Amino acid sequence: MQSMECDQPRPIPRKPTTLVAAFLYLFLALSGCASFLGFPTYYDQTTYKNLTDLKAEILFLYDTFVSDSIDEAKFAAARLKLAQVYEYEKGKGEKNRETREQLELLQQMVERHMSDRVKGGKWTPTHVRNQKTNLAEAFDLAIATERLKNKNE
Amino acid sequence: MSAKWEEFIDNLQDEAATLLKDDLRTLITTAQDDSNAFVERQGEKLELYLNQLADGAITKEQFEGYVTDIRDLTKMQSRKMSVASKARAQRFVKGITKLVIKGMMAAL
Repeated sequence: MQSMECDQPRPIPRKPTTLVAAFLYLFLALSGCASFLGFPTYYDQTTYKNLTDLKAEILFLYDTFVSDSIDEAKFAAARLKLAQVYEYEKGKGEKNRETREQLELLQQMVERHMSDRVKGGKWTPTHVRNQKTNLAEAFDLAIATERLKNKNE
Repeated sequence: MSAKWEEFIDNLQDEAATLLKDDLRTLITTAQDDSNAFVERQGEKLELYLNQLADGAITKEQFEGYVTDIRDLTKMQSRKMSVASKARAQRFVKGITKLVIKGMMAAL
């Protein structure tokens, strides 16, 4: 005679391996999703410093545009620094596309402003104020973009 | 009462410029009423530049340069918005991933 206990349906034991496999599947799916979505690069302190330093340097250069003389060496130095910062950002690859493109626009803006100084002569106080406002805004946008990026923790 | 820049455009002999006035007014008003601080700021600047042009404080070439700057700043703003949304999604996935690992450890 069988006992009553044998008639009761026994609960199916949960296999830890099934659970682990499910978690692993989800983890892999999320990891795959992360690369597929093309998440941006992580926050970079060097980028932040490069941009804040360069902003101050170029704004300072613009202040000299109110005088009659043009310092070609300062123009060349600004171009070189911008090119170096651009190459640094470009080197991070496709995940850094937005910052790289912002740097391209920044370079174009500075080139346009410097060309305006060379061709149009010394800047008036109104013109220097307007140019500095737009340049500062451009740098602030690139700096704010970097600050939006997640920290690699 | 019309703004200084509107009077300036009214006084221009060029018919095309006069026709542009209404479009410009709409553009500036829309931008200044925009809830987005960036767009609002660009609208204010555009009006400032038009007034400076009307006053003779800036040249036509300088005005053109400022408008090009506004265009490029807007492109930069769009890149910033793109990074903001991608970084948010990245935080979400990172959070979920952490939960999965923690959940898996608890289940074992």
